[in-house]
Amino acid sequence: MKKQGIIIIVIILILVVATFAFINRDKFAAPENQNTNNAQVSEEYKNLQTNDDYINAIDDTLNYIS
Amino acid sequence: MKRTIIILLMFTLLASAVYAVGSGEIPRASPSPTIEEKKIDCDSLSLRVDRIKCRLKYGAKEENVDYDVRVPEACRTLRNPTACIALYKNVQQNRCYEKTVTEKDRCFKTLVGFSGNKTEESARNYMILLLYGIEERIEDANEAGTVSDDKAAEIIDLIVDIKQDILDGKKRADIVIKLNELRQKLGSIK
Repeated sequence: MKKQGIIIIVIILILVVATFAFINRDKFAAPENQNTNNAQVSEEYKNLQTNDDYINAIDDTLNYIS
Repeated sequence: MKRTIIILLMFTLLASAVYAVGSGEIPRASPSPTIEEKKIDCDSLSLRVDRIKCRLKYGAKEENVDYDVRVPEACRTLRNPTACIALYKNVQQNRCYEKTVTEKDRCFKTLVGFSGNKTEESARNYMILLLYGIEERIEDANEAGTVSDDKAAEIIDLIVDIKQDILDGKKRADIVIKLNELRQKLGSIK
């Protein structure tokens, strides 16, 4: 009886963890996906970190202005 | 007895699942009070550079401004400022400036439609957002004490000037001159 109870509790705990992981799967997967996305879009999207990055992005965009 | 234990355990499982769902999003704190809320009327000042300096001094950062109350400086001189104000509201609502590096650029480009078939209008709007990004950086540097109020106001005033030229449909040659001036001013605060 005691042994059965312990087994049930362990199963329940596993289910709780699995449920939590499933519900929050996007958060857990985010860093990996983000890196993949960044690698894929690095050509298209600019790294806007410094003032020079912004100015260079503006310079590039000027080509679309008459 | 056995059935009661199982029911209790099932209840615990459900409660944990509900808790997990509920804790998915943490509500954000509302933005800090704006200059309007502090009842300091920088808008009444006649010179733009003075208005900018006043807002810097009293901590009314652009990102916290309620654009239903105050028209952005760059939109003020336009004959029809509606689209310009909408652009500012849109970028504020989408929190583009809180995003980092490429995600920020992605946010800008998505908002103004500067991807795929790039039009001149989308390019001009994209440039407005990039200039706004520099403005934000200057405000942050001013807040951190690395750039003085006078210098920050001078640079932001020039940024607003360039934004007005872009929104007014000025030619590339006119914009480039002021952009070079901005580049020099930014270089002086490194």
